Amino acid sequence: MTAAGVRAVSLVVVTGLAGAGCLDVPAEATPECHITDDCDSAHGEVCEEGVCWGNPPEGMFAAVVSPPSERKDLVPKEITQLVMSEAGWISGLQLEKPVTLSGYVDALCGGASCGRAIEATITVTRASQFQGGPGFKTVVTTQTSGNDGASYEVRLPRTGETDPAYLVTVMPAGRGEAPGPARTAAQLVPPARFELSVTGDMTRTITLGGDELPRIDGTLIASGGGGLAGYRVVAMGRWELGSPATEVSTVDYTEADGRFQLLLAKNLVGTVEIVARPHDGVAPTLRLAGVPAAVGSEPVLVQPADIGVPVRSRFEIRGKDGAGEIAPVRGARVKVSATLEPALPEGAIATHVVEGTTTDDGTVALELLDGDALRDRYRIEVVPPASANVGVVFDAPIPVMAVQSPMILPARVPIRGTVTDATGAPIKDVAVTARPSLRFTWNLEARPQAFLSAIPPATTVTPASGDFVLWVDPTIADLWGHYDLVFEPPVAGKYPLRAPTWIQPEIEIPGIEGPAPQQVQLPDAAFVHGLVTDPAGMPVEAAEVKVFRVNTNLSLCSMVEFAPLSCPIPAALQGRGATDTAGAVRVSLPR
Amino acid sequence: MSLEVLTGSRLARPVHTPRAVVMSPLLGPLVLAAAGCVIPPSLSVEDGDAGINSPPAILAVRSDQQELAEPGPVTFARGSGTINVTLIDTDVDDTLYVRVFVDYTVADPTAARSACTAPPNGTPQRAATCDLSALCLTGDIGAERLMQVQVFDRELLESGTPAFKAMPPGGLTTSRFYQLNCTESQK
Repeated sequence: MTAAGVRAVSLVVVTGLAGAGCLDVPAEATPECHITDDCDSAHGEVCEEGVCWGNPPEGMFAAVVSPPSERKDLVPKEITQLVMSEAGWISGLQLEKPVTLSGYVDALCGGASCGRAIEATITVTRASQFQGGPGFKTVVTTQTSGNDGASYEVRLPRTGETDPAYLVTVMPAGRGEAPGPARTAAQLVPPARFELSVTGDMTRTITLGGDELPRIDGTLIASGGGGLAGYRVVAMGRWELGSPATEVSTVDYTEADGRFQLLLAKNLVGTVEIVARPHDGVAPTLRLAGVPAAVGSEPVLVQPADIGVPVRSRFEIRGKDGAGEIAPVRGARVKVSATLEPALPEGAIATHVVEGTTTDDGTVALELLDGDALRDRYRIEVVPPASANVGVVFDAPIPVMAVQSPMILPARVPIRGTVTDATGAPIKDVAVTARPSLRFTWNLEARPQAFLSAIPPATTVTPASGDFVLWVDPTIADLWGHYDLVFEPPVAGKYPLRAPTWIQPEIEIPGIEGPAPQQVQLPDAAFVHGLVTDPAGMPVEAAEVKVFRVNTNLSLCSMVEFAPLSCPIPAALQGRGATDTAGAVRVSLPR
Repeated sequence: MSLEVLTGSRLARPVHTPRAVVMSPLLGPLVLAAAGCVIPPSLSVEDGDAGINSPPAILAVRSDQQELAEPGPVTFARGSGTINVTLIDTDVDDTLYVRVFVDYTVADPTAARSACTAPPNGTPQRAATCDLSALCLTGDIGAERLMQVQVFDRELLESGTPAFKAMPPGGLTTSRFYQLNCTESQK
């Protein structure tokens, strides 16, 4: 029997069996070809291993090739312009040897290195060389042994002539919430950041601290006078405008006199914010913004009066279960906070934040402060577990009392639909995830934006019918939601499914009834493949290749109100694959 | 029963004559439909474990940048990121459920911050991509946390112990642990 004949008979048999409702046809497909004539050879497809390879989609693609973690002799590689032949062969998947940056981390004492071992975490990053790419990031910790000091070793891709330099951030260890039995590195020296090009193996001793660093000599004052003990104090700031604030100083812990001393890192931009968080007892966190970063200062942070005493408050979280009955919601994250703005512009902000997770009976107990200064300012946030059909509560006022009234969570709205392949056949076992779209996220102010990002995305897997239901929050802070649906067909068995990873963007929630059912037809897949090798040309097993479509359209940045300054629109991941024992990688791309 | 068997793999040939099936492609479904469902015996050698459940295992956890080696440290920014988890389970029909926990302890159990599912694909190896946008919360910034990537071969129960990890009897699980550093998202 010819290959085409076998294929036709097989189809009839399976269709008949499935139609009779007797067989759950496995997701694994039959060979789609035996000879190239079975494929779309007019567009360059060729038949190999029972698969029609080639005819890749048009457009600009980039890729990231990563070695398995046990191959310390290799480093990830970005390919900014991926070359795919008409026959679907990806070239250039050769990993490279790393260059090594190594040395010691120590502290500067009186203008000279004093040889003190500084335990630290070292993060090395480099921006992607294609728009929205993941970039490079690696994190190592120093190793201390005997009297050898604190050594480190980082393996990096070599910095090429056109490559940007690496950003190296050194964060001294021992940044715990409470002081330990001995002074830690984080109490001695501040973090540091510097740029570095690594064109070959190099040794560098990183010396932290220094007498010239700006020093903050401050005091925490209790509302009734006297020092505030039991606080962890640190300065938050940044090395580049627009970058996220991080800890940029030494860490100090106050004692009875409330005094603290912070050394600031070099080369900070703007001002810093001092954050004093209690580690011993229930009390508000104090924050003082606008503190100079380039010169020393002597700030005083005063705890507001009338904060009261801790009250253990029991919250009961309920919502409709799948049967429509009101039932306890377990695993919900409950966060209660109160913020007291200062009476004077130069004063400290006081915030009391407590959080917990509901138990099987839907309850959680949290300690609130009952004083007049805070009691009318409490707000609650509730985030139920991933894929729950009850929704979130954001910024709702609550009173201070020992037993709160039960809180009934609102219903989420369903995004329903069916996913089919390019021929219109439903697809089983597709992972479907609803992510808030960038347009939705970046049209929210900072607080609701942070809240939205803390909601685990809803996810489900399609049955044989291809149907899916995802429960999403219809609004956040009175803004109607927009969600991207991510469709991820199952990883191929012996033969790949002709269905690629796909994103259906911007599903609008028009009201509490939810959107109309989505009929999502995945595009046809193009299969491409390649060979990942080491510098010697030997195949690399368990390496990963990720293929991105390069997106140069940044118009969204001007269409939203609260995009980050850098407007980091990620490149769209089109497909990924891991290499087999022979180093071969196979990737499905949407056409 | 896979299609490959029906179309004449070497494994099936001594058991069934392909001709018998191939010659009656139209009659077969009619007979089956008339007689009700027929559950064919499995011919797969991978199902021959006599019902003993095998544990799932994690082969690799990959971030957007690279594979994550235990014990880390690993760094994620609040509000973004994914991990792709490559799994293996010789029970090829098991759906595998991946959960990502942060600072989970028996004394202070917390719900998973991320969840994803790896459906069966007919082979022991499969993969799932977990969205990590809710992995790092504001309170995690700058703190040292422990991230646990855990795979279960049974769907988790709505209640039971250990909290948020309880499975029906016989379910098996495997974990990987990482020291987690959370950073603030881009401003």
